[in-house]
Amino acid sequence: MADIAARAPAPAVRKAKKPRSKAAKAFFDGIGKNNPVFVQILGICSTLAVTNVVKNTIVMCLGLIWATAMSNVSVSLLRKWIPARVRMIVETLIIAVWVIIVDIVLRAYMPDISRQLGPYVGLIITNCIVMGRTEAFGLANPPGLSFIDGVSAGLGYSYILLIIAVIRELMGSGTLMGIRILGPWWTNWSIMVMAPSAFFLLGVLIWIVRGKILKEEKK
Amino acid sequence: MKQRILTVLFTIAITIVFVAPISFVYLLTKGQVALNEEVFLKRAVLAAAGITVPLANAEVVSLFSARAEEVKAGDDAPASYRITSEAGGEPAGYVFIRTGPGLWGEITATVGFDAELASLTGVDFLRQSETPGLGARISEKWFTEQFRGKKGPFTTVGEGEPASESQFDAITGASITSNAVMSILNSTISQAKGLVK
Repeated sequence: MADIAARAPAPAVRKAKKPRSKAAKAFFDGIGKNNPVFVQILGICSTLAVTNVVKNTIVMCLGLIWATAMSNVSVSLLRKWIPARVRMIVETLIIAVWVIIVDIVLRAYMPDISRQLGPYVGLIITNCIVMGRTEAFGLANPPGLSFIDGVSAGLGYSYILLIIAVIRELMGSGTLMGIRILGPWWTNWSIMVMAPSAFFLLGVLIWIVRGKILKEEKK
Repeated sequence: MKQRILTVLFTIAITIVFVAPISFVYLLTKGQVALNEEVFLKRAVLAAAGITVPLANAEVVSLFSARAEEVKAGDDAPASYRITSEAGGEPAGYVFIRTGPGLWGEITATVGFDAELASLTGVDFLRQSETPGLGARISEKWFTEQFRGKKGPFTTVGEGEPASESQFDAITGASITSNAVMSILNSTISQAKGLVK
């Protein structure tokens, strides 16, 4: 009952808001109501794989933001010439190019992180978020908007990964960015370092966000 | 028909356009990547020999060429290095590169011995794909440095517990990795005399 009462004034509040510009909409959609991880449930493989240490997660997130934004812009620039029949091949090619550049640069200038991330950087190519944005947005919108959309989808993915990574590293190793935070009284939860904990945490997070925050938007 | 040919031509052209910059970036960084690999190996060898490894790459390379020398034992034999003392001349120790199975993949370690092959001067890891945060902690300093001056064959004790000369601290939550390291070290210790010939 309380739920219904709380929901009732929502439409009025919404109407009072200023209508957002296209760019702002493209930006906030990716972070909020069109979030790739929460709402579209995309890209969760890497959510599980790289979130047990915050440092790796940050590098992974930067790689993904870069790959999504640049691929989206490239596809958008070429959108009038890409034949519909081969658009997926072309998108994959473009994504692969931007990701491989990240991989090569990491290998050359950040060899330690590159060694730790191993194959995960290359796997950004298969991250559905990147393909999803080029297909859903880049193909139909101008380059500027596509860039914003790509960055926003990347950020939407990143902050969730970081939330999970902070919880996992803190509880699993008692550290953040490799620096000891919790004292000797803390017993590390080994499960937090392994993949299953990311399933639990992501599940709980999605439950909280969709159940509490996004419920109003849906109505 | 014309449309189809255009599609094929477009795909070929776009591939060339996008692969060209990648090749360029690759060629640009090729030297740096090779140098990183080389310095990484040299660091691991020096660390296993118990030598304090400098931070700068150039210093690592010059220190390595002053103190270490590759020993060719045969085509099949794993790489090994003779470490000379600071004054030069007499060998101060040996470093062997050894590989064994880990939890997810092979673990390659550099294992250093003193001149008599009696005790270890250090251990470092070249390649490992253990669980980040658990088994991958074998690459952390506290783990690799605990082997200095110890004699095998080893058994393990729990993380943080005091260890005797023939024990080392295992990693909590990474028993398989710890045991894998133990078997690599023990097999190296038992074969060390044969590796030097």
